[in-house]
Amino acid sequence: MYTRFAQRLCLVIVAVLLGTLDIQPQPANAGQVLRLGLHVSKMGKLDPHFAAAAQDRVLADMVFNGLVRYKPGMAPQLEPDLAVEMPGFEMKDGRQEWTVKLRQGVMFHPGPQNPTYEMTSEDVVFSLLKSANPEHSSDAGNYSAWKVEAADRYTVKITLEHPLSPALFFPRIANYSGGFIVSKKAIEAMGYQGFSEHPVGTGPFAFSTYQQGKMVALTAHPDYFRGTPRLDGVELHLLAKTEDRVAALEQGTLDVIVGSGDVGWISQFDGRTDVIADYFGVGEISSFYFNITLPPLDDIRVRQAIALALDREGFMATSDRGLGDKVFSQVPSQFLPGGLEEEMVRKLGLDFTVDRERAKALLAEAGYPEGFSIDLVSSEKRVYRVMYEELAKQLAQVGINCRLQVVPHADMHKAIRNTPQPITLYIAWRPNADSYLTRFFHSDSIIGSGAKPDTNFSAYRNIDKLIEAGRREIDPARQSQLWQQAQIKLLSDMAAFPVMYISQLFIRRAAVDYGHQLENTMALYPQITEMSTIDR
Amino acid sequence: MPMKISRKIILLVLPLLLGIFLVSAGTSYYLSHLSLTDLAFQVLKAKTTEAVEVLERQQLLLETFALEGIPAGVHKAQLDSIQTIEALEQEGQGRVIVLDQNGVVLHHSEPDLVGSRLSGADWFAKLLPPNGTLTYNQGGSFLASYQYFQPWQWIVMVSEEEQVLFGPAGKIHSYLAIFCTGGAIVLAIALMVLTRQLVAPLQRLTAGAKEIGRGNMDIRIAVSGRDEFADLAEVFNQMTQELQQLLDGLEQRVLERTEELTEVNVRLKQEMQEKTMAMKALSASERRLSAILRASPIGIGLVIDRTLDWANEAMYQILHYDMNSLAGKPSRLLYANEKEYERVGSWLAQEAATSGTSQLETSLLRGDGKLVNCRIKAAPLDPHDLSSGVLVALTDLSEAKLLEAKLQRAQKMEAIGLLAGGVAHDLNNILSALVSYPELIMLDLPADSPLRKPLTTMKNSGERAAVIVQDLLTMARRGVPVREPINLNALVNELLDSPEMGLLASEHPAVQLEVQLEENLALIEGSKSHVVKSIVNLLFNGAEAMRDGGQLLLATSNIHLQEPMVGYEVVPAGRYAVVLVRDQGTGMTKTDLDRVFEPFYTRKQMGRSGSGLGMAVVWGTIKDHGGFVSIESSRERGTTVELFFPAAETMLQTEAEQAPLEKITGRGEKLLIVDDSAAQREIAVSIARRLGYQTETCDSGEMAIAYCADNDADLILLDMIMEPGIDGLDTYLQIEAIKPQQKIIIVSGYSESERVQELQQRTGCLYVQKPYSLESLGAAIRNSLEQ
Repeated sequence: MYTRFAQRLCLVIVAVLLGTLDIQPQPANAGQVLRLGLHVSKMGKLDPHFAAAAQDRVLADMVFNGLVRYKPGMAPQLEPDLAVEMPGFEMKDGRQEWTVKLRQGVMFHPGPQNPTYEMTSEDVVFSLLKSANPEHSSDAGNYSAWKVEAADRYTVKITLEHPLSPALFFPRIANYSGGFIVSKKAIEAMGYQGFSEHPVGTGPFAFSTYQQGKMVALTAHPDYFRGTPRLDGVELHLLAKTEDRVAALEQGTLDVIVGSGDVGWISQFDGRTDVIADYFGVGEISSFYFNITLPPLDDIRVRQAIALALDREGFMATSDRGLGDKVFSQVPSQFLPGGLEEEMVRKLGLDFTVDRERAKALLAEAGYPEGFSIDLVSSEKRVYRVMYEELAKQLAQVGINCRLQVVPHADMHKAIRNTPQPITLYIAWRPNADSYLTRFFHSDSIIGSGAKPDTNFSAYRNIDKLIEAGRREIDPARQSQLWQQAQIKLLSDMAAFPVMYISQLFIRRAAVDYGHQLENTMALYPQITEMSTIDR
Repeated sequence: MPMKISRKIILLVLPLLLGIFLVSAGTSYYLSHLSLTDLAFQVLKAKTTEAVEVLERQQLLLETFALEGIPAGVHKAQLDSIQTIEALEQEGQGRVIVLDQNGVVLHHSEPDLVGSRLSGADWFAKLLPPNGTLTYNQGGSFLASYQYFQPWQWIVMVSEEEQVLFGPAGKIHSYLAIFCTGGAIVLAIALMVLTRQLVAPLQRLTAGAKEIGRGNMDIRIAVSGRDEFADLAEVFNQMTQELQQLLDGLEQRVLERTEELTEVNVRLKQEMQEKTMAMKALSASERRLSAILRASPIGIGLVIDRTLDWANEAMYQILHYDMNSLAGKPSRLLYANEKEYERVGSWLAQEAATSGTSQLETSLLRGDGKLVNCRIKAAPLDPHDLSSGVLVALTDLSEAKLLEAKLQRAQKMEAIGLLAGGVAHDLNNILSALVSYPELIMLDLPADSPLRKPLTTMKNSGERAAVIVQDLLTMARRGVPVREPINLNALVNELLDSPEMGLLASEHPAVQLEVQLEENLALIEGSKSHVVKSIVNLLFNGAEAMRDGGQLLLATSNIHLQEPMVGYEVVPAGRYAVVLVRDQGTGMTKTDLDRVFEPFYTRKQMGRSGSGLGMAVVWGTIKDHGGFVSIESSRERGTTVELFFPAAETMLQTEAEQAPLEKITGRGEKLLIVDDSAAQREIAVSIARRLGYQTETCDSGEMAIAYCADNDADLILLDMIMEPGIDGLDTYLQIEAIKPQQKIIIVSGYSESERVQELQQRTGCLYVQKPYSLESLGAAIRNSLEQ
């Protein structure tokens, strides 16, 4: 009895002594930096409100938060992020007033010229106003009529002249495009130019350095409000060539790489247990946009001829079969309400089934019996390059000669925005039908001349009213019908030819655990969070 | 007799009631059918209107957005209308039929009929515009409402079978017949029951009276009502009331006692359960604490009267004794001598008594006879009575001491490096004159001038001195001017053919050099000249350690460390390309090993075989390359040095080219030379003018900024380190604000610092290291101007 008591007493004293000797458990992944190989040679924009290219969205996803967020790996499901709960609204004098309650104790990363500090409603107001300013945001159109005020230190009121359904409002305050919350004090200290070189947010990882054309280094944010990340940091290595990425993965200098949609490429990993291939959505939509103001595409017969010459099967064959499927309307019916399914498009006679003889006849009717030549700009990224090459191959069969210029990805983005192209291939994901239609087809979005230039490469202006009515409609069924009518008009005018969606393919070492399920992500990569780990 | 009364009542009342029921039912049926028909048409009309409104909304959409001219748009609107009508059809009564003007069915609740033509049906001819109602027979009686929709030439008809429309109300005649018959039967039964209730108390009283007559006091008669039968029954019942009350009271007490016992039982069970859970928790806590003791890296034991009572595994591991072998033994056997035993004992006792815990460091005698440095922390179980036992925590300090010594050595090397770097920088500026002026003077001298030879000697001396300064800079870890991919095997092969190896062979003919190179050696990134110099230094040191000859091994290998390697330094986990040099010489003492990398520390006679910087250069080089050194030496086996270079991941190839003189002459362009050293400015001006450039000079960054505000220069030669004002980078940043396109060359006596690299990344400008030659500076100027 005495021995047992003495032993217990000893154990208690030992526990106290161990405390005084400062013996602490070590983090499970001390010294672990996850290295991610991206498929581009340089970064586009580091400011999240300009993040359009895939590599920029990857960076923004890790450095920033939104008021709400798409659940990691489970988009488009939403959950509160910097807000404590999903915001609700009240109607006051015909205006819609949303109230957002903020989390307390959320800390920004320290900036190059300012220390870390707690995020408050001032930062949220500043961020949303920045998103609304076309000089500081590429998504300003979605925020321009918003009145944003700080009700108190942790409450923000957003008043909308034109009410929005939650389906359209939440994506705008989510961790996507203009919804990212930036550090007001960091921008005040170093200016917008400085911020565009050193972004400062609240995310699990803080921006550290960017070696031009080589690598972006991020470090763990120890004060991250969901807990200190299990990784010490993340490195984004810019390797445009697939074989370089694969070699680096095999040599152990990269842990995760962007895969390739090249037919049969994935088979090299068959039977391997040390690497894992992840296919996941959301699928980015590939469409060819026809500029209806540039001759000879200003003639609808020419555009219809091109549509009749194009065979979606040919484009599908440029990528691995498991990676995607055909789409028949601008809004992908596979992922979003408001799209048109293949059966419906065929029923309406807008499927433009391949008929190259009819295409030639239309060209002859339009005054081009011998066809014509056009200059096109393609990105160096494989998926763009092969689709442009397939386009050229198919159009050559009806006498249209495409002269391709292949440039770095970021340069292609500049070129297609600065100079109208007769045909533009754009591969993108948008969070809802309104976003697709507004950004690609509203006259305000026309590149160069639009009130808020964005990605209307078709210089199209015939469905403005339908888009705006759809945006205002609260009844989901009615809203969907308006969006579908807009797309019927687009197909009737053949302003764009929707081709296919392409899912994401990433390869990771088996030691990498993303820390969440992986079905769909809006960030277009598997998402590295505070829960992600690597077991080297 | 009672049966007779009831029969009479039934025969009298029942026919009367039946007659009344039948008349009422006939009238109700006639009136309600009329109302129901009217009501049904209202329902059908409302649904027809609702369906037509669906079409109108779609038509309005087409008109509002000018989509009427788009056939696909109109078709979609019509499909959407049909879809909405299908949903509408699910609500309430009435089946919707949509027809075109030719009677072709566009929508029908029976999908098979869609597309068929119904113009042949009798009722189709009754559908007169614009709207109306009709009744028709089609396997039953149907009611219908219809309306024309002019824009699409559609007819919307809502019809339903009368039976369905009326629902339960349609069966009113059946209900009435059943009600009448049923009502009559119910009344008859009611009359019978009433009669029996009147007779029953008389029967019960009669039976009760008979029982009392027989002496049965238990009999009770039911009491109901306030009549005479009830009074009689009550008197009868009072006779046994007292006895019954007594029995009832007894039963109640038994019930209460049973409840109390049940409660006590439940409480006891609960207490038992809580006790069991507490025992389990206690046991788990014990297991946890026991695991802590087992897992602890710290030796923990209980000492009673300076005898070890009990200790954990870590304690036995630190002291190199078998588990439990010390239990019950006096702790004296752990001390090397009595004095230390007493010192520790008295200190622990004194401290524990005053502060509750005590701590001190001592050396303990391990089981294998060796001493181990330990920190002992002790806490008495009872501070007022040490005889109750003292708990002791023992930490092995051997490794900590070792790491502390390594840290001190690294800090010392860093301090020496800083000192050497400072001196070297100043020397570099001084040497610039020695290297540059002879070259300039010779350009003005005739080819046969007798001064050429001494000037060449002066220039060569200056360059040799610059090499020594470069050694100092390398040692100071500021001396890797270029980073290029290096194949260490190729480097070794080149080295084997070099004059240095010839010298080694001639000075040490008895030494046999053996080379072992691993195939597919990983590349490293760095400076070839520095790496070569380090290898040569190691080879010469090795050879000199074998005065009587022996084998000198030079080897390369790939090493992948899965975990850090602790040796002379701690080499972190990772991939390395390793160079190994091993001699069979006399080896070094521990003191020599500790100081072997210090500059000017040598076991050799100074001035006899080197500058004393050889191993310091090796240290500086490996640190500049982010690498690590491992060194082992013993008198018996000689010395082995391994240089761990991190394997390169990506490679950048840059090659400097030397330009012919005629390609580097200027065309009168204006150069601004910014340097705080007057001698440096003078040299730069001389070279620039000789090459055909105009020059202006400034002695500080601030002066250069002021100059640029009012003047133009084609190119600025900008010194990086200037004192006391701003440095080259800050100078450029302010000039850039005035002249964003200004071209510059950065010049420095140091090698590329972070500030230089930042400026290069920002501008892409060229970097020239002092002392520079006419060719190197000329080529840089020309290249910059032509960019």
